[in-house]
Amino acid sequence: MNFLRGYCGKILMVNLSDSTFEEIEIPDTIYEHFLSGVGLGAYILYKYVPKGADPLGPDNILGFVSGLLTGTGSFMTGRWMAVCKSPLTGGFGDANCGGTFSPAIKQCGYDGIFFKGQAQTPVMLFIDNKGPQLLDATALWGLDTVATEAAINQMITAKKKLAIATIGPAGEHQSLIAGISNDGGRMAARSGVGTVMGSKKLKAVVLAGSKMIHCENPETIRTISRDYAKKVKSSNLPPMVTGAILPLMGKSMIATDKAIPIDGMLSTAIMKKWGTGFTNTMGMTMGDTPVKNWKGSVVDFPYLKYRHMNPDLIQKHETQKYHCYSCVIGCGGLCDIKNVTNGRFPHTHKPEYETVAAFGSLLLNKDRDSIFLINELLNRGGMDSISAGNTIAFAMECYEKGWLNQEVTSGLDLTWGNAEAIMTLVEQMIAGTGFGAILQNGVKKASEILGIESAPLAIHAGGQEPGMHDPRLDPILGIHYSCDPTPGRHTIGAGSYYAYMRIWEDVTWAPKVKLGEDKSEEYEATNQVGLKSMVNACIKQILDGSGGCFFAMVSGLNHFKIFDYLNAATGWQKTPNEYMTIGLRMQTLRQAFNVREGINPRNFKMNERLSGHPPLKEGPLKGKSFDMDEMMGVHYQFMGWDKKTGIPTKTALEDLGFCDLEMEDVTHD
Amino acid sequence: MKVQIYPPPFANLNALDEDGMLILEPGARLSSVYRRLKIPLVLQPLVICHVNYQRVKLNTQLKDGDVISFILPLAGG
Amino acid sequence: MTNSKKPVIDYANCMACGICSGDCPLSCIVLRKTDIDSYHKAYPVLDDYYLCNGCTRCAKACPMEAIKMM
Repeated sequence: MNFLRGYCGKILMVNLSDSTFEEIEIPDTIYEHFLSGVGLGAYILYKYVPKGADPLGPDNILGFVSGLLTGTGSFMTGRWMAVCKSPLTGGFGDANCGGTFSPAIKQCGYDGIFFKGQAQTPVMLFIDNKGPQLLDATALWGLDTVATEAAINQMITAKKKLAIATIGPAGEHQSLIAGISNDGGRMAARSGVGTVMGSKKLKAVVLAGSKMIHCENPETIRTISRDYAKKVKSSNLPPMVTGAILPLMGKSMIATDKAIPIDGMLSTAIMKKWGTGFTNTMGMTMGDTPVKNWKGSVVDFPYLKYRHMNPDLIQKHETQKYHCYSCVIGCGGLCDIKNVTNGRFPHTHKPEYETVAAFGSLLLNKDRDSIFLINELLNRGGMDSISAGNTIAFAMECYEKGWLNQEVTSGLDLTWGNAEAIMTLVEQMIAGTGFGAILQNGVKKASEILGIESAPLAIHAGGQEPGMHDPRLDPILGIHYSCDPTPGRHTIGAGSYYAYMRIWEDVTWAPKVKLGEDKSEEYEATNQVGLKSMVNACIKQILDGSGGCFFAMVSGLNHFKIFDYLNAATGWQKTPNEYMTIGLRMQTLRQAFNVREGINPRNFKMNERLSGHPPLKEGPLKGKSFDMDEMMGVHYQFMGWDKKTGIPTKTALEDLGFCDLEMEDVTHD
Repeated sequence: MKVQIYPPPFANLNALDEDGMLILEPGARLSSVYRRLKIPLVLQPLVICHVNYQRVKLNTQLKDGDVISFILPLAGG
Repeated sequence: MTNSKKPVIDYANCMACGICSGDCPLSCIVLRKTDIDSYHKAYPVLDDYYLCNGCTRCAKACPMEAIKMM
C-alpha cells in the first residue's frame, strides 16, 4: 500500500450498537476505480448496506467522506460529503458541504468515517491523534447546532481546534429533510442525511487529528495552485459596479438564443464580491429563479419586490468573508444580524441564493430581514432550506386554492408573502410541532397526507425538492433533476455549466460549444443533449470524488486543472478520457444502488410543471416547454443504461468493472 | 495574429470564428477588439475586460494567443 | 526539540485560503485579520506565539510560499 498518493488508504467503521471500531484498509485499486469522496462512499454503501435496509434502521450506514485532493496543497478542494441510504428517496443519498471538516477527516488518518448500527442513548464520536472514542452526548440532545458546537468546545479540550459536524433538533426527531451542520451553519443538507444521523442517535462527529496528508508530486500541485490563484487574484469587479446592474445583466443573458463562449474565470470576480447572492436579482430577469411555487414569474414578483433581495443590501450586514478550507475565492460571509432579529441572533452565515430564493420569490416574500432570521433558524435547527422552502410553497398554493384553512394550519394565514407566518412555520417544522409536523418531512409526504389532488402542486423529483434553478430556462438541468440517482439536484449539470467548464479542451469526445450555436436546440432530446448531460454527470462525480468545489469547476476546467491535480497527487498518469470513465463508473454504481433497492428510475421524473406542462403564460420563460420523458431517455442512452428503464445494461456493467462488488442484483438485460 | 475572445452577449459576433477566435493585424491594440465587436459606447463602462486575466489599458498592444475576456456572470447555488 | 523560528506571513502573496490554519497541529494560526483587502477576507495571524513550536507545517503547506519561518 502506497501512502503517498493523496488518499489515506483506510476508513473507520464505527458500530454504534456495540460501540466498537474497525479500521478497514482500502486497496489502491478501489481508489483507481472510484476515487475517494462520493465514489468511496458509494463503494462502501453498496458493499455493506444490505438490500432493503430500513434507512432509519441499524443496517443503514452513514458516511463522512473527504476528497482525494483534500489537504494535498490543491486549491478549491475542501469539500466533504455525507453519504447514506436516503430516507427521503429510498435510494442512494448524499450531501455536499464545505467549511473546515473535510481536511479534518483525513488528518485523523481516514478517507472516510462510517457509522452502522444505532446507539442506545445519544453519543458523539471524538477522534484525536490517540484514536477514536464514543462519548456520551445526552446533555447535548435538544441543543441547536450552534449551541452544540459551543457546548462541545467546553466539554473537550484538544491540542487542535475541533472540527465539528452536528445535527440539530430537526435531525433528532427525524424530520426527513434534516441536514448536518459544520462550522456554525455550513450545511450538508440534502437527501435527509441529518435524519439518518438522528436515527442512529449520533449527535456529533468531533475531529482533532493532525496527521499529515501526503501526495506524490507536491511541487506540481503547488504550481497548478499558484497559476489558478494568480488568475483569481486579478479577477475583481471595479468599485463602481453595484448590484443595480444585475437585473440588466440577467436580461442580457437571455437576449440571444445563440451560444457565446464564456470565460468562467471572470465570474470568480462576481463570487468574490457577492457570493451566490448575485443570482438573487439577476435570476429574476433571466427566468432562472422560481416564483410562487414554480407557477409564477417576474410578473408576480416584480422589481419593486425583488429589489429587496439586491445582494448589496445583504452585503451591508457582512462583517467578513468566509471560505472553505483551501478556497481562494471566498464566496461565503459572516453577517451581523443583531438588529434584524431584535437581538435574538448575533450573526449568521450569509444567506445563500438558494435560501433567498426558496424563502423569497418562491413564496412571494419580499421581507429580507425575515430571510436572515429563517436562514439562522434553519442552520441552527439543522434543516434543508431548499426542501423547507419548496414545502412551504406547496402549502401556500394549497391554501390559495382553499384546500387548507387556518384550522389545519394552526392558525397561520398562509397567504403568499406573509413573512410572519413563514417564520412561525419554519420554527414549527424544525420543532416538529403544529402544522410544521405535517410539513417537516418534505413536500412528497405532505402531499400524501393532504391527498392525491395535491400531488400536481408538490414539486419534487423522487421525493427530493429541486434547487432554485428553472429547467424551463436550461432543460439539461431538468435531465439531472430527473435522472441523477440523487434526484432534484441543481449542481449536477446544466447547459450553462457545460459551456463554462470548457471540458472539450481536455476530454476529446466531449462536444465543443461553438460560437453561435442555437441554444434552443437544448430543448430537444438530441444526441448532443444526451452527450452533454452524460459529460456533466461524469465530471460531477470526479469533482465529488476529489473534494472539489462546484464553483471551481464552473470557473473553467481550463483553469481548475482537476485532471492534472489528480495525476500529481496520486502519481497516476491517466488521461482526462480515462478519468471520465472513472466518473461514469461512479455514477453507474450510484444508479445500481438504486436499482438494487427496487427503485424504478423513471419514477424519479420531476414534476411536470418544471418542464412547462402547462407552460408559463408570462415572464421570460413564457411558452417554454420540453419533453422530459424523451430527455431522460437520451441521457440514459448515453450513460450506457437502458433507454426505456434507466437500468444499467449488462454490457455497461461488464465494461466498467466494479472490483469486488456483486452487481448481479442489478437487473439488466 | 489570432486572439481568443470571450465576448459580452450584446457584441457583434460576426468577426469571430466558431471557436471564438479573432484575427487581428499584428500589433493591434485592445481598442481594436472593442471596435470589431462593436461594443456600444454607452455600455462600455459596464463591461469589464481582461487580457490574460489582467486589467489593462485600452491602448495595450496584443500578441498572438492572448485571451481577452469580457466579464459574464453565471448562475450559482 | 523546540525550534525558535516562528511563521511570518507575507500578506502580498497570501490568498487567505485557510490551509495553514487548517493544517496547524496546534491551531496557533487563526483566520481573523480582515483589514488586508477590500473584501474583508479573513487572513491568517499567528494567534499564539508561545504555543507555536516551530514545526514548519504551515510554511511547507502554503501553496503560495507566503509563510517564512523566521
